[in-house]
Amino acid sequence: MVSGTTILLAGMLLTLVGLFWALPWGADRRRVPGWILVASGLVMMASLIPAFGGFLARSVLWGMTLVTLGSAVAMITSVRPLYSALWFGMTVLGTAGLILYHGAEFVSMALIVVYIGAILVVFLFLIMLDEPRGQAGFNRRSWEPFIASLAGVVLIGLVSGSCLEGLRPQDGENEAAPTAVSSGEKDASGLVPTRTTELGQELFGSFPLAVEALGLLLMLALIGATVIIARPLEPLLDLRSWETPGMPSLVEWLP
Amino acid sequence: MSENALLIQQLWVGACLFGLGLVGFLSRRNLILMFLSVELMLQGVSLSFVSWGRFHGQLQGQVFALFVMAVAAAEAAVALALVLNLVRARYGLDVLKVQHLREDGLGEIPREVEEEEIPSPPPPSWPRLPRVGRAPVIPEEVLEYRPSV
Repeated sequence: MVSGTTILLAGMLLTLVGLFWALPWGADRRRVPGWILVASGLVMMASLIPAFGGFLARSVLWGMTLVTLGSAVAMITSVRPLYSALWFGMTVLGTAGLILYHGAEFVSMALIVVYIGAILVVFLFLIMLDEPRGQAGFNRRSWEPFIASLAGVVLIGLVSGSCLEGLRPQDGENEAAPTAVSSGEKDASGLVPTRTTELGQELFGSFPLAVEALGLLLMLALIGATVIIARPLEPLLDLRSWETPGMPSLVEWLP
Repeated sequence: MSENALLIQQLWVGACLFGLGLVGFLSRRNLILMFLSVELMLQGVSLSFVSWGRFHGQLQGQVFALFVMAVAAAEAAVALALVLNLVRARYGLDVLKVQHLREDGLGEIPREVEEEEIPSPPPPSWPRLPRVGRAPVIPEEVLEYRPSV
C-alpha cells in the first residue's frame, strides 16, 4: 500500500514536469503532453482528499474544481495574452461557483462583476493597447520556467501536505451547516433575513471602519491613477492669436 | 467528517490556485499576464477565506473576501495607470525592457538572445473590388464556367 506522502510527492513531480513542459518556451513546442502531465499530477494529489458528502455534492464540487484549475493552467501556459485573459475569466467563474456552494451568494456575484466586469475589461484594453506587429517573442517565451514551476509546485505540495496531515478528518466532527435561510418572515428590523442581509449586517455592524477605509482606499487609488496618467493639457485657446497691436496684451494680463 | 473533508478540498483548490498564480507570475514576461497571475493568487486566497468562514459558521470569511476584492480593484486601477505610462513611453508590455528600473546591484537579464519577432501569418487575400461604376476585369478562365460574375 503506497503511503500518502509518496502519492503526494509523485503528484508534485508530475505537476512540476508538466508545468515545465507546458510553459511557453521555445518556438512551437508541442505542449499537450505537458497539460496531460499537469492534469495527472493534480488528480494524483486530489485523490488523497477524503470524500465529503454524497455523489451530487462531490460531482458538483469536483466539476467546478476541474473548470477552475484547468482554466488556471490554460491561463498561465497560453501563448496569446488575449486567450490568457479569457481563461482568467473562466477561472473566476469557477471560483464563483465554488464560493456559491458555500452559501456566499453576494460574494460570488460580486466576484464575477468586479473581476470579469471591471478588472478583466481593463486588462483587455491594456492588451489591445500594445499590439505587436507580429506574435511577439516575449509572449512565446517564459522566464526561468523550471524555477518558477518548482516554486509553485513546492508551495502547493506544502499546503496540501499540511492540509491533509493537520486537518485529518476526525470522527464525530460537527456537521455544521451554513447559515440557513429562514422562512420569509421579517425580523425586528423589518428585513427578511437572507444570507445577503446577514452579510450586510455583519459587514456594517462589525466592520464599519474597515468599510470606510476601503472606500477611502478606492478613492485614493482613483485619484492616484488619474495623477499618474495625466499630462498637462494643451491650452484650449491660443490667446496670442487674439492680440492686436496697441491694445493691452492678454497674455501678460493673465496670472 | 463531511465538513472537515470539504474544508480540506477547498483549501487544496485555493492552494493550487495560489501556486499556479505564483508560477505564472514568476515565469511570464508580459506585464498583463503577470498582473492576471496576481489576481489568480487573490482568487485562491478568497476561496480559502470563504471556506474557513463556512467551516467556523461565521460570515467574517466572506467579509474579508469582499475586502480582498476591493483591494484588487484598486490595484487594477493603479496597474492601468502604470502600464499606460509605459506604453506611452514606447516601452511596450515586455517587462524585460524596463530592467533599468530594478534595484542596483542586480545583474542584467539578457534579452537580445530571446528576442525574436515571429512574423504574423499573411493576411487572408481579400478580393480586389473595382471602383464603383466600372466593370471589373474578369479572367478568361472564370468566364468559362461563370457566364456572369
